[in-house]
Amino acid sequence: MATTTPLTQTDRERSALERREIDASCRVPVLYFATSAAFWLLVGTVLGIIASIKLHSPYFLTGSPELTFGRVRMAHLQAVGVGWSAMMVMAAAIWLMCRLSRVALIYPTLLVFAGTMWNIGMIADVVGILSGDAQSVEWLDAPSYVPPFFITGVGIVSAWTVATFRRRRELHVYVTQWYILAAVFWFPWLYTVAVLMIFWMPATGVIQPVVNWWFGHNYLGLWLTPIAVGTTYYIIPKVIGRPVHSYYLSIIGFWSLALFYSWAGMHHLIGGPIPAWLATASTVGSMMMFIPVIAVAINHHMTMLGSFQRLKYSPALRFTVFGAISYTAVSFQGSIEALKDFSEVAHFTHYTVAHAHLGMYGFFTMTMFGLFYYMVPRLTGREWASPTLIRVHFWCDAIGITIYFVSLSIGGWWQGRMLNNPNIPMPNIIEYLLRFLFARSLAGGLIGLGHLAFALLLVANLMGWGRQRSGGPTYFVEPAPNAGDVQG
Amino acid sequence: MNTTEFINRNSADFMILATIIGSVVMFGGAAVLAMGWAFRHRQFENFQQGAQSIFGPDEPIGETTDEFPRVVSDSCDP
Repeated sequence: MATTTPLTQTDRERSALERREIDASCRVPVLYFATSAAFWLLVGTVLGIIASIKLHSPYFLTGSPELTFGRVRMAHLQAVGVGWSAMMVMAAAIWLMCRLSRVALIYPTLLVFAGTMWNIGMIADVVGILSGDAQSVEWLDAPSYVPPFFITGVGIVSAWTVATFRRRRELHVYVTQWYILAAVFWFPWLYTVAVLMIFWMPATGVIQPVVNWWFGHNYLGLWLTPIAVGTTYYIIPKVIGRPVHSYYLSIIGFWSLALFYSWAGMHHLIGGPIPAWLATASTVGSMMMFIPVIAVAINHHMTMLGSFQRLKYSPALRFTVFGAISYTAVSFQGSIEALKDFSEVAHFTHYTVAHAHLGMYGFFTMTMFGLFYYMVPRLTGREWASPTLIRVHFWCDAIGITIYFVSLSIGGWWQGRMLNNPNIPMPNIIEYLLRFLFARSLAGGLIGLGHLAFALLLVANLMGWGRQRSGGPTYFVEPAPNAGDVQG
Repeated sequence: MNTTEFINRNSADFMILATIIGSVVMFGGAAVLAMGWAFRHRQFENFQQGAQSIFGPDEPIGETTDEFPRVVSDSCDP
């Protein structure tokens, strides 16, 4: 719905009413998915901090088998990777698809049912893992009784997203819609096939890890990444009121991601007992990922050019831009890590853990926080209750993930160098790593503090404690009255 | 290897092959269909219009939606 003709007040009011009606139609399911996601984020944070502390203080919480490192770490991964991330992805997909298609959501109750299926699956997942029912397959650690809940939940959400798209009144398919449609098509297929080939009708031998990492990497690249990148393509232009710099580049970025990303998973098995061509093809696919990443990076930077000053005020913009910058960084790093020489050092070390958290936290989670700050007030009609808490949230998370990434990258790299040197005894390597593991726990504590602030803000908003939206948004800092425009 | 093991192993191999080929056909086929649909519906023709499609009369280009003060010119390159 481009705006090239002069607008009347009636046009504005009609359009605003339509947007409000669309938001109202998806309020219940989207808030349900989003608050569930936030809950699992908190659960995952606690589990992550416990797991982190255990790595440098092994006698911490040793009284029960439920809290041993192996279980807690798996439960952390599932809570944040499948609870927080997937539920947030589904919230974003529903809301953005309704807005971009310019249609109200039909039968929202069914989506609440889908969210409940996912939540039941998550409870069984986390409790089951802590009770000792985990499967020893990374990213598919959930006990065997969990997948039917997830398949049902995501199946409904995918069908509803496509149904919403088919009812669209906006004829042009915006790039964000391409990303969403691709994600809701890819993920149910990926998950069902992976569960089928690893658990229900298990493939034999080396095929299992191949399927495992085909799923594991594509879970990030064909499920979480498309939705987060699609979100940045919506939030950044909308907040600053400027169309994306090059729409052509954004389309190139989408189709090249669709073409190359699914090759990349085998770089997790470099050095493993898989056919050499498989690892090499994966390395090539990983290097080709430079194309969509550079396209997205140029586009976001050029769109923001002249508007960076706005980061001082808008929480949604600041979180989203932080996520977009992290996307460029983590993707470049990921492509380099797929090179065999580099992998000889970095593989199986904390360097990879740092990379994973830059992607899952610096990129995905920060982008989703940006969406939260933009979306929730429009759904509840209330602004955020406290700019101070938003500042606490942002700075704790930003500083926390920076400490996390820097400390584990340095520690992990030297860990790899030392592991490759047969003259260095293993205890020396462990002792060397302790300082970096302490730093990781510190970072985890900071991030946890940020999440606490975020949870308080969310609860306050849902309880109606913020002021009505008509009074203007909650800024990080209030713009000076005469400063007017804050264009940078 | 007895006959049952042979059949089981081959049926497992067949399943794997069918899944891999099925995935390639499904992913590749869906991408080709989607691109064909996009070309037929002129999705790749007017990029300018595409970029502007997220704006509307109530949230037009040039106005921020985080409701920054709109006092001074808030120019943008359309």
